[in-house]
Amino acid sequence: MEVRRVLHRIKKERSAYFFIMPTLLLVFTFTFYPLVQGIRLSFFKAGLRERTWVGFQNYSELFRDPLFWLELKNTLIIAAILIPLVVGSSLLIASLIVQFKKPWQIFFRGAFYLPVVTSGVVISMVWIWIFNPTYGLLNHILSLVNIEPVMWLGTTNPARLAVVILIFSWSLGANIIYYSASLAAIPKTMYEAAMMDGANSLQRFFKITIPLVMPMTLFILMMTSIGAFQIVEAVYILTGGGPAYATTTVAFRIYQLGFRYFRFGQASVQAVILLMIVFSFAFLQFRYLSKKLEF
Amino acid sequence: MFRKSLTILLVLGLVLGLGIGSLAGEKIVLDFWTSWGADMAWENEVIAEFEKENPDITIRKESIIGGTGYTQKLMLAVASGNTPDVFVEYVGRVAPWWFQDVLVPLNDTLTEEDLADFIPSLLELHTIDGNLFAYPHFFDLRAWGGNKTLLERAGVIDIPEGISWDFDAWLDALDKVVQMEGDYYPLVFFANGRSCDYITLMNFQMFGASLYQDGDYTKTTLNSPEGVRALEWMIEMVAKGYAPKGVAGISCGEGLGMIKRGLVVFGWCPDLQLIQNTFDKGEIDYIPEFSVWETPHVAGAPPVPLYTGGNAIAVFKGDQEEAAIKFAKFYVSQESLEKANASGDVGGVSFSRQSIPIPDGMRRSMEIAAKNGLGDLGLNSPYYLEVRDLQYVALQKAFTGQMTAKEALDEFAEKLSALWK
Repeated sequence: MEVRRVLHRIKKERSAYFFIMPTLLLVFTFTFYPLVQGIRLSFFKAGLRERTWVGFQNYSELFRDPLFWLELKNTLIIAAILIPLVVGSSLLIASLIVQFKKPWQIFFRGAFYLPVVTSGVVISMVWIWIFNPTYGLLNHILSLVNIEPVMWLGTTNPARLAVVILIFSWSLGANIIYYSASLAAIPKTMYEAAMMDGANSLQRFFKITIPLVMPMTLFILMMTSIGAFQIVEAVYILTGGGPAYATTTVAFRIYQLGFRYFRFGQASVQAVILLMIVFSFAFLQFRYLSKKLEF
Repeated sequence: MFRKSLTILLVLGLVLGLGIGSLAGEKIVLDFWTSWGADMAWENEVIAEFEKENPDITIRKESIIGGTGYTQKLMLAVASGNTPDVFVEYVGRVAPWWFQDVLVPLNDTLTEEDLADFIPSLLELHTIDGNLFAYPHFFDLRAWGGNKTLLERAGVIDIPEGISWDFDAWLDALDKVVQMEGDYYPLVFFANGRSCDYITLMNFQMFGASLYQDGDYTKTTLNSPEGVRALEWMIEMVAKGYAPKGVAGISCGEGLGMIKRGLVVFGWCPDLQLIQNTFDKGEIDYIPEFSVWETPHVAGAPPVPLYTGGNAIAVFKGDQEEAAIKFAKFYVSQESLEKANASGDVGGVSFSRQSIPIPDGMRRSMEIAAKNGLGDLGLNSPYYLEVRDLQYVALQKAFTGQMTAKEALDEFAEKLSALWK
């Protein structure tokens, strides 16, 4: 009965299914199928051409490898700093920009968006020079305020911070645009009413702005979180995963194992673990934050 | 009526076209990938000449910039079974394909004349387990570049032009540079990045340590007393201000950039051609003649020119192997190499045949190589890329103080042995 009802419904809505079929096919071909194959590959010792079933051996080797735990630690540290920084800064900057006159709003949004449309490789190459310990711009600025030069890419924690700074500069633009759109949708009358009730700017920001942009915050938070766990390009160009694995993230290691050493089985295992982490994170964020949504 | 006539005409034309095509006979089309990234006139001439001599073969060339992108393109091609017939790439990125069992062994394809003409040690470096996996095209050696103006300003009077610097005399020159007014460094070391591992190995070789012995990575002497001394010397140089700090984060490109900007006096360079280019552009003003054949080295450490690789041409297994081998051989024939040499596009390197004139700067290095052998990076080993990565990690651990030089190098040697188990 149930099956017949479903079939009847499909028949009734067949034109709708017809229209979404191309997208469904694309999603299946380029998302679900590779996902399933990737999970399957994690149970093999796989090179470019040979493949041997090893069961859970790849998983047990991975959990016994100290480098994996270091990668995970690096990934979580970078994500923990990057996510609140990007989300908070985007909202703050968007809130400031929205108060300018229109031409200035356009100028600042364009300026912040410029890195988004610039090649990540180019940005990384520029930052390499900015971070140069002896001749870089950043250390030069620090020297003007009598701060000792920092070995940005040559020591552990500064290298992690360098990766965060690079990604931060790259990620702001798009999020500022999203927040700008969200802020523009807040009725001005709410702010006027609050002002009449004696609310100061900080109170208006925390009591009106933040709650009303929460749907956008949820979206940006999820997208930034997913992106923070997938950092490869910046690490590849800026630090090569060093110094001494300090910036080797799980995603970077997946790239190294698969595309540099041709160890696809081991790369797949890490990809599966990363998938589980990102999925859990996104799920928890959605569960917690969606309760706080206001419209 | 008109539409019917037009349809009949179109069908006839199609049939005729196919017919003529088939009557013309099967032409072999070889897919040829090169790593120049740009269209080389001499290469097009070589192809045209080959096609003239072999009218039944057409070469379909694709120029790709060598490096990671090219490797990934090849990877996809191998995985999908849609490889080119012939490809040219840097030998360190050709050898890994041998271990994937996708290349044709070329041992029995060379005549006695060829074998006599190719540089013997070079053929050996293109051989894995007795199988010639690619024909060598050209090769290069590492070189120094430097700033003579700064040396003179520092008061270094006897700047050698034709002979090797004595190690202590060289250290004296470094002392003078570091005492100069202004922000100048005599040297730069770098341990970030996936290239220029040659340069770091040069610093080890100066003290008599090498990455591996007799083709065996498990016999590395990098963690020998000489190797430890070399790394400790580098760390000391940084601590004393003879080289910029933050070595673990400085990349090869940055290092060379500092030399070009006149901020650093001496620097190794991965290949003579690159140094020659920067010299020709006026970015450096000193290529010591000795730089390609005798580095300053401690007493007892023999100078060994380090082979940093070059391009090689290899053939993928497939249906057109015979034609592909024919073209690959033609690509490295004397006539073709003479074209490449005469073009000036491939300057500062030595081609793989002895009949092609060797640049003056490399002649002496070839004499030393004949006496002491060619040092190489193990470009034809299955774990070459991983070894490089492990090497960087060991250096980074030592330069950041996470481990002592001995601990870092011992850990490196242990990991090398584990790779070969």
